[in-house]
Amino acid sequence: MGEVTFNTSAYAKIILHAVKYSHCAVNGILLADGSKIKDGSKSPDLDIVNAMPLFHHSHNLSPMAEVALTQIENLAQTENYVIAGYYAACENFNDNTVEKCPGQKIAEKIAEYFPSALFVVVENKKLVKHLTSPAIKIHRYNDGKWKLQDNNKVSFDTPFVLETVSHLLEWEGYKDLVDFDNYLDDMTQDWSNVAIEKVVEKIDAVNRDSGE
Amino acid sequence: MAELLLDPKIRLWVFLPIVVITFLVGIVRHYVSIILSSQKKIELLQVQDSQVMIRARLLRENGKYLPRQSFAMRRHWFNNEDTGYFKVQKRTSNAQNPMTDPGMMTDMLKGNVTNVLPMIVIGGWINWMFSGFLTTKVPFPLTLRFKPMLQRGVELAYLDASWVSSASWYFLNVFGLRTIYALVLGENNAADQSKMMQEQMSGAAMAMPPDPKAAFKAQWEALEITEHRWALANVENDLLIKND
Amino acid sequence: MSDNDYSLASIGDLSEDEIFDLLRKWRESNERKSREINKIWTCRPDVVIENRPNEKYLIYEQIILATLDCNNSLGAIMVINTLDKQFPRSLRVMRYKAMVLESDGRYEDALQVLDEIIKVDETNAPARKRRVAVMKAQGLIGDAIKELVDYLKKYSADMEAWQELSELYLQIGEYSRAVYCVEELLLHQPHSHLLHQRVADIRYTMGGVENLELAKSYYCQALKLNANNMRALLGLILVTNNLLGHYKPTGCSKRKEAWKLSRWAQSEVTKKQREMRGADDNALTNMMLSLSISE
Repeated sequence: MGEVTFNTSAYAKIILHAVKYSHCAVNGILLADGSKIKDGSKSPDLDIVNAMPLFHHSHNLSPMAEVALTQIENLAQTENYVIAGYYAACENFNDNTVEKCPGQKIAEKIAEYFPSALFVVVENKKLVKHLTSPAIKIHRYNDGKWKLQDNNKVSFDTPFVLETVSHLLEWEGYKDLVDFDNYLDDMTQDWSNVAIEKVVEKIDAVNRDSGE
Repeated sequence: MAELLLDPKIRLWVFLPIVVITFLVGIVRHYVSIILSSQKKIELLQVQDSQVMIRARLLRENGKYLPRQSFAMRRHWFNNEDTGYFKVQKRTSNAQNPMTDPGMMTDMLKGNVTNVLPMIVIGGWINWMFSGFLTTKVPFPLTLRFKPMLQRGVELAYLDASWVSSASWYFLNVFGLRTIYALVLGENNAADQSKMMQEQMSGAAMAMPPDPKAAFKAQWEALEITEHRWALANVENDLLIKND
Repeated sequence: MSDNDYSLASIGDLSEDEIFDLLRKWRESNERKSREINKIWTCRPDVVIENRPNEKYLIYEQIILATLDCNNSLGAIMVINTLDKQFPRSLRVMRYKAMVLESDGRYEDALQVLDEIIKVDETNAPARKRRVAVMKAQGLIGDAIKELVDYLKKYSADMEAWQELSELYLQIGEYSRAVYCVEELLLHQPHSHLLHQRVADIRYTMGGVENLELAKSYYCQALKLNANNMRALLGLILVTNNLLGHYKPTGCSKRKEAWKLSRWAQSEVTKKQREMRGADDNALTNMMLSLSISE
């Protein structure tokens, strides 16, 4: 099985989304770098470079999901991304399984087009102010099922991911996260969350300097 | 006509005492009624019936916003001959004589004790104690029609109508102190007698538990004759025309 | 932005009056703000709630909910004990005790307390609804639905309950039942554009020409009530495009109408987009072009 690498800002968006709407189920789409995926291999290495937060209410309804997915597809085409996976957090604090997550149909649709898709489930219980573990469970589509992956096969692009995201949590960065629902309510907001990417870059740079 | 002059002692011994007495009685009434008041117990069945009635009414009023099928489905649920709610649910007519219900008797008694009784007693006492005084004069002329209202207890045919007698002053206070009570005791206080009075007027119908059997029948009839008119039939055109 | 004019960190600097004003504002606008309220409760011992006799009980209730949300059941228990001393046999306080049990995961005990409340006062609607919540917390969606349906048989005009039932039905994919629930809400608030849009969303998800046509009407109604409902506008495009695929290609008035609506909605979206961001960004427009079907 191939390795999965998360970009810090992609990971940060997942966590911030789950924290911003900690009382709701949330979901979103994972984008991988298309140029690095080798064709032919059954489960290639994946480089998750971006996450698009979708909804925190009205799950299970298709219209807005269709709109969002078409839009993400467009974005992916222009930027040479591949829609490579789906992430979700359950509404119930104790649930952290694929079956309890909203929008499994979306995930299966993704797997139709990208057979080795990821399904990331946020582990609500491990979401704490100072992250000590990635707090996500990663599943990969295999033979029509979502198979839990060994967390050892997950890596991040920098070693300070957890510190960076913890910083963001402390500064209430989740308030600035915009998901597709927010965007539909107020179209002036930017649901690709460029602002958060910039902040993450800055913190990363500081961490890198102090780490060296 | 010579101007009347009131003895300053009237101000001290009649005018002010009436104000103070009515005010204090109001305060006392408020606290007594708090002590005596009992929570009204509602029955589950009553709740259920009233909520069903609300739904039926809304279906009649706003049913046009539902597709025909949804509307028919709901009406069926209410009105169907064999299974409809209004047909199946048999309610005994419980609009009985309130005298047979001891709970209601005590409620009525309490109402009387806190409202009617003090009114009669204090009113009578004031009438007896302070009868025959003129207490004040309103600063504008009034027509003769106001005489019986403002000069109760002083039957002088040639007296100017703007003079106010002691008994009338008491009644003016009873009604006029309402805002002061609201200020002192907060909104919805029990001292507000005029409100109680209003309730007595319209309350006759309210206090009686509505007869569910009759109400059901009325709703059933109203629903039967309600026609479904799909309100969204032309909405597409409206939208296009509006924005053309 | 009203949402960001205070932050968790700045709560320490607010004066007592400002804090009470904030709490009142949240209460009146029905904002939960659990993180903030929990922070106030834990970090501002100098704010004496007892000084506000008029609203102190409301504030206490606000705090109980907030502390429970933030997994601070100790805080909640402290407040509940204060209330308990004031109102020793209050059913309302008992309900909060049940909620503490619930947050600790002691669902059976919580249910027992709630049952006791219902035994004393069988018209106690909040306790009955709480029972549904306990089941939902355990993940027993089926049981929760059953309980809620039972509740609605008695309290059939409770809008909150209908709303919750519709969400639960959506979760298990019972779309036609969910529609029924939302229609019930619609009867109560026929002028809410959100509810019209909601019905349309569900109808669209269900699929089929009949449902799609209904969805189209409801989206139009939602837009008539509020021209700025973006979801309805986008939904209208989806629905009309879908319908165009279903209708026979020629000589059908319905097809003509759908085509007109679709064109109108698309131009509307483009216009909105321009207003919001300036002409250079046309992500949504691109997407609409890719969606639209060539005549």
